[in-house]
Amino acid sequence: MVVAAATGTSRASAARRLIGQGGIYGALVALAAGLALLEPAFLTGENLQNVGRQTTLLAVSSFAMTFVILTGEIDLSIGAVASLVGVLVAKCLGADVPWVPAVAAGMAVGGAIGLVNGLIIVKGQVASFIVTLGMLSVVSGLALQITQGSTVGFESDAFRSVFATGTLLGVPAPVWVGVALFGVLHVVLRHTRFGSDVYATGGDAQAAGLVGVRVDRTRVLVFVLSGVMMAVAAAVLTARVGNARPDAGVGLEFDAIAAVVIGGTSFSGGRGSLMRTVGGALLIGVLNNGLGLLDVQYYAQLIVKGAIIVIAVLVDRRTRWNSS
Amino acid sequence: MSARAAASAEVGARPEARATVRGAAVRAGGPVLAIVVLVVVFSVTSPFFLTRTNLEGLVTSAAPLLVASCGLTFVILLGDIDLSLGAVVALAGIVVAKLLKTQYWEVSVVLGIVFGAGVGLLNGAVTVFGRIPSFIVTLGTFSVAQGVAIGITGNNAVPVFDEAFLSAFAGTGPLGVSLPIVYVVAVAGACAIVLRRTVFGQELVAVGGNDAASRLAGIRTRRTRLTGFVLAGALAGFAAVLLTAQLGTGIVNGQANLTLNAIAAVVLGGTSLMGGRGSVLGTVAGALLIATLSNGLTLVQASSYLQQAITGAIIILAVLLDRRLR
Repeated sequence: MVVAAATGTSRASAARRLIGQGGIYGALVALAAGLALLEPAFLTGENLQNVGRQTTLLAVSSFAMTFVILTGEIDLSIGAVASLVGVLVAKCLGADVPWVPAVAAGMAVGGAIGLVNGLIIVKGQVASFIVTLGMLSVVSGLALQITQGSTVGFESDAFRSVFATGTLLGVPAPVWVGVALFGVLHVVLRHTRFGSDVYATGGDAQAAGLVGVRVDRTRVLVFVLSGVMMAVAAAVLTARVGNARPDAGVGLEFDAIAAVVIGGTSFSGGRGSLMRTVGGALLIGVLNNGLGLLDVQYYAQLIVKGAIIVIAVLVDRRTRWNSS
Repeated sequence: MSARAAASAEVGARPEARATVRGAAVRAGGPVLAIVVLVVVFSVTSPFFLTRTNLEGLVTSAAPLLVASCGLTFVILLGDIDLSLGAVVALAGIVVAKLLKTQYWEVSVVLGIVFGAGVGLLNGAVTVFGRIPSFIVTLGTFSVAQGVAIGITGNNAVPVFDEAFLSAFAGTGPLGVSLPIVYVVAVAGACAIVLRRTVFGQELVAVGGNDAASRLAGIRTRRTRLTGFVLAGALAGFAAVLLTAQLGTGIVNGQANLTLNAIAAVVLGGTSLMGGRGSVLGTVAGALLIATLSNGLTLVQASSYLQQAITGAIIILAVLLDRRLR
């Protein structure tokens, strides 16, 4: 990936990658254009800010999921981690802890859960699917137990301003948070040893191990990253709602997986990018916003979302993977 | 226990069949051992645990999970997964509850099972002919089924008043045995026989183990995979019938745990998520383990929140232990 354009074939594959990404962004532009025609309220500054706020949570969650899926693994515990960290951060804020240490503590907890996931998967040689499924149960049970099932309230204008309500240059603050994370993670994925290890591990772990890629270390780190990123997602979620419910993150894992896969990252690992995931998250975000504006009921939104997941992957497979 | 009984009943069968049965017994060994430990612990902590009423209630309330997990075993043996299971069971239950208002209960039940099989066919067809991972396909149908369920009910439960239906699927039969237990034994037995004693069952395991090699060996792999999905769907439909009778209503939500518990039951039972290796009896043991845990924790008055956390931890530990033992 890093040495693309070195040879004719990799130039061709780079071109194919661009066309593939064009697919998701083409669909996004078409959807936005259609919505703008159907509903004038869509293209107003206020609504676009809403789209940004709503999509940030999904985008941040799916950044982490992109790393996990690129290594050929899956993390089903992220929604539960977001719930638990949200509760902890809200409790800290409620005890008058400033938001920076509160969020940092949340990141430490998220990272620790990710570390446990990663170590069990690597050392125990158990499928990440079943480990993170068990962890989903453990973590959401803990979140419910800590709160006894009730909502945790807090007062912190600074926290809410940074992760939800504030704006900078007309763009909502959480969008800036998302953009900054994207920038950092994009560089990490494309231009660091860890990033190329992620692709190599997902492409062919055995071969990667033989040529000196630190496969196990990469796998563990990816799950730690996932946990840390979900703390940011939890901050965005908690700040937007203004309180923390112990089940606030339920289902987030499925939305994140959908965004990654709709973006066109290969579910079997090794192929994909964060740029694609942003496209996938935006597509889901714009779609949800548009369906809401058009007064389409929630149940119909669920049906449309389900259909789009399958159709996007079907189209993607037809246009891209068959040719390679 | 059932696994050992089956294994001893099989002594004297063809050597290769005996080997597979022994393999199945070993695979089910982990959860069976865990169940024994749990039974001892819970009988010490609660005098009520080892009563017939409680044990019967334990299996009866786990009947929908047991039936759905037996079906899911076929899908996982293929190396596939079904994330839509809980949503489909909920939706099929609503379909049955709605039909019961106007139809004979026999008709409603058959249509409920056919509906489940239809969803299984849809999942299987898109997975097999679209050549996309079943994880993605069933993630999609999960969302769609949820949407349809909310759409047709307006998010309200659908009560069932048909006494004949309730007594047929939640009542007690001859000798005072709870009927759901009878259905569970019948379904698990039939699934085990289909898997071990039929050409289809052997082909299913072969396809799950190595699709390309199976095709070269002359197995119509697409048909086998489709059939596996349809069977699992039909059993999800039957699980919905049992659940609806048990609850007395068709409910929209609350079946998210069913998907997780069913997958955990199959994996705890020693069936490989990669496909090609596993058994129905193992799944039964896995599901009973989850049910025993939930029952015992309720008896010792652990909160439902703690139960959830402990169940997750036990799933991870059991799978880890299983990996160590092999």
